[in-house]
Amino acid sequence: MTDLPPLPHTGTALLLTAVVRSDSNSIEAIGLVPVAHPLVSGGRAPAILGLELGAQAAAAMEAITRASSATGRPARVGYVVRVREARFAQPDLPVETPVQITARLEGAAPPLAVYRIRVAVAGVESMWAVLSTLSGPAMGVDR
Amino acid sequence: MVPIDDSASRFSVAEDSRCFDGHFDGAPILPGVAHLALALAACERKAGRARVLTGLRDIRFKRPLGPGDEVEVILAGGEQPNSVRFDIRCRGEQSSSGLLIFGPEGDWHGD
Repeated sequence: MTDLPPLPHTGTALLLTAVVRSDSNSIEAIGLVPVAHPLVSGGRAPAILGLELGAQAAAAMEAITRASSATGRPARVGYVVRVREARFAQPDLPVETPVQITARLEGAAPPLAVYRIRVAVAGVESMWAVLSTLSGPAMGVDR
Repeated sequence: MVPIDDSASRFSVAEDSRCFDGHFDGAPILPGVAHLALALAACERKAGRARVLTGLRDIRFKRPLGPGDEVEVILAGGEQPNSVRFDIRCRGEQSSSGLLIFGPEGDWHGD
């Protein structure tokens, strides 16, 4: 496990809790949807939150890769601009329960990048998706 | 997000919506998943019950939504069975769009 890199998300918006391993092309991470999250209702987290979990894992991978580069470039805020496809095996995600997240870089033409993400609960795939992101300003820079 | 009329298509994104908490500090932007939640809420209001979402296709986020925005969610039948195309507009401009894919009719969320 490694420490979480700086991400722009805070409070209940931050769903990533730990990075298991990461390299320049993929990341394995752990996340959790808190019961206080605004989209949690009746003790259930909608499956679409898997997209946010995956997006944050991709953001963490980018931040770690940038930080470990020779120039130590600062992480950039990334925005999901497209969900090409997603499939949900379950209608909900568990709340206050660790879930496993993987994100793999499928391609990039900076500032655009495409990731395939997967979320599993107790090792069983709950959802997968292909996301496109757009890099914004460096973190810490006034927007 | 609060419906602001009975047409099942217009919502107000509250200034103090918890969806903005930590996303992001000093620069609140409605998360993309909240756009999807709005579209699903419009579908539920129209159908009278929540259907089970099984997939998404070609979801595009074009213009961010912020505190106080009032949006219109336009729904139309999708190109494939059990699908609904949504278009979220704010001040007449498209904010997000895409295809929601549901389980078969009779497959209701919460059953």
